[in-house]
Amino acid sequence: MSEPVRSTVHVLTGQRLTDGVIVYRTAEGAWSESFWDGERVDAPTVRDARVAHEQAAQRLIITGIYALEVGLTAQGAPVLSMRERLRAEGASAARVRLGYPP
Amino acid sequence: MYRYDEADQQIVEERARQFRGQVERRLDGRLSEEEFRPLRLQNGLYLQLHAYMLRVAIPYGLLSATQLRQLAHIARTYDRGYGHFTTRQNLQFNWPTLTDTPAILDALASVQMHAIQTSGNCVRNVTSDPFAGVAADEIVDPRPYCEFLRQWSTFHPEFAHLPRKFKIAVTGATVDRAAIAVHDIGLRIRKDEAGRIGFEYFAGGGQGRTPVLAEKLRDFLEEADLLAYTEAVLRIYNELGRRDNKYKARIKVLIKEMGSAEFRRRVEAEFETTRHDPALRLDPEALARMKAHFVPPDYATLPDGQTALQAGRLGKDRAYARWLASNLAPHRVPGYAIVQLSLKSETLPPGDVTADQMDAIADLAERHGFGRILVTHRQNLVLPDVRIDALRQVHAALEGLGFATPNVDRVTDIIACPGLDYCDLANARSIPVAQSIQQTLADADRVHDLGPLTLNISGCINACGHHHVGNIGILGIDKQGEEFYQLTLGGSARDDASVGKVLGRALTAEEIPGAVERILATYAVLRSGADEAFLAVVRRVGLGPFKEAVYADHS
Ligand code: SF4
Repeated sequence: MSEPVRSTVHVLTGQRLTDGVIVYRTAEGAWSESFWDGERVDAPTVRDARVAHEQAAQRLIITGIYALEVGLTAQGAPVLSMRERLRAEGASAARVRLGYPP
Repeated sequence: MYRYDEADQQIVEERARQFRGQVERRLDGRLSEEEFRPLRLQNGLYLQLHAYMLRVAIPYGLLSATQLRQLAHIARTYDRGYGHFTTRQNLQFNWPTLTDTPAILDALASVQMHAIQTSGNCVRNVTSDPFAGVAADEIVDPRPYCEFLRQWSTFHPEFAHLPRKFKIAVTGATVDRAAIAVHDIGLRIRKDEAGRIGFEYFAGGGQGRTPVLAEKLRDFLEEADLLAYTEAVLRIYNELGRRDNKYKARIKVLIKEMGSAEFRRRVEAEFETTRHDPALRLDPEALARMKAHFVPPDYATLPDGQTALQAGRLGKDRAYARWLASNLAPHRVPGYAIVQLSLKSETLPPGDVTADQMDAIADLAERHGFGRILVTHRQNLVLPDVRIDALRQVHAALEGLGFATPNVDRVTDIIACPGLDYCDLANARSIPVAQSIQQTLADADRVHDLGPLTLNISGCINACGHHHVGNIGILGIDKQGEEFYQLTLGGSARDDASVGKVLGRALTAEEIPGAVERILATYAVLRSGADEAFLAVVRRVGLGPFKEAVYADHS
């Protein structure tokens, strides 16, 4: 039984234009392939402004930028939908899961 | 097989060159993503969950050994060393980069292949019987007609922006292996009493959110009128199909809403115009020219080989005997057999083939045939022209490659769409569910004993895995961000086509293998004998006993 979600935050994510690799926006404004590096944003106005800004600023580098919803348990552990869990695991993990080299 | 002429070749090369420029303009910002997206989709390039995916067209599922080797080369050089054969007889590369795609299109063009019209609201790859040209039960070879349709629909300016995508399937045999009842247009080639060729013409079939079986428009459309009539159908659909709601935009909805009688009346009226257009008429010379591309190869004169086949089926080598029983189909030429390669081993996801395996299959197709390979809509491959006296050798080679699993059209010959492992539209994963069912049903004798039984899995309601028409269907659904699976029973894609009915509440991935196991055990008890297939039992007894078996102690 999964733990109940107490609150939600958002992490900005998108895909690298050249190869589609999933990336997350860090607190420093860089983009990392690790979900765990992603900055958690909770104010909706900040989130929306940041999405709009990054969509314009990164248009040659990252595509499909959106704010993904992250549930948080009472202990602050993140809870993701299955889709976002699989995205966060990344492409290499997907290949290994399917029986291929990373 | 059809060979491109100079103009065809120029078009695909030009298209690859254009795409190279479009990618450059996207990367330097002259094209925005909104402007670029339709351009990449017109070249079959999707952006999926983890990466780009390139869908390559394989017209009516027919490949030459040279083309298959080139696909292997692309997989090895530009992708991750494998490709995935789909239910539309296409091949998908799951990991190309945007920057490599123009080079891939060049490589495809060099062997007369492309990815044009594998996406978008246009007429998609025309599909057909995977035994076309060789089946013992074939009435007329469907490939020339598929090629006419391919040429007519490729770059047809009027049908480049249809309300929705459009799929055509053609069969020329007594048994439907092309699932014509669930296509926008389904054609069954017939001969009348006088021996004239014509088409039993169906339209309005489809799966997805609203599964519908096609309605018959004509009992017998004359051969010469194929394009004129199809042009009329497409004109009516293009004009009247709904564009306000993508879930209601397929031709099946138009025909349901309008009524098939009224749709037919409009098509016939339009046909009165199109039938007089000489460009749409298949005159005897054009037919002869096209059929010349598909003349049978130089078969040897051989004994029929039936004694050897019988001996093999009764022999001590059980693996070989089972393989002969389930993976072979009768050939029209004595001494030859159609060999089906099961891409449903326990090692790779359904429909996947590595680059090395592609090369090995191409070698086999040349050594044991005329260099042809066919793709089936059940995500298997076919070596169409194997000499019966070479079957043992071919079996051994396929065992070495992992493609001799004796399960074609059996319960472990599972269709599975890419699902949430790859697909951006998915609700749930398909491949691990297929693999866990395969592991549960590892006993080859039992699988064989259960007889013909199709099990199809889709990761969402788009139904690329044809779950609606699986004898057992599994549909992935999303419940509050988690994967669940709905079971359906009683579907069929064959001549007795039907849409499966939902069994009950959705189950978790972990519950599915056990549920399938209980369904099969129930069938084994209920069947009147070894000859009563699973589908016949479901139709005879209804869902009740199966529902009871799956949910009784589990609700
Ligand atoms: S059925 Fe759904 S999940 Fe599967 S490939 Fe089609 S769109 Fe993707």
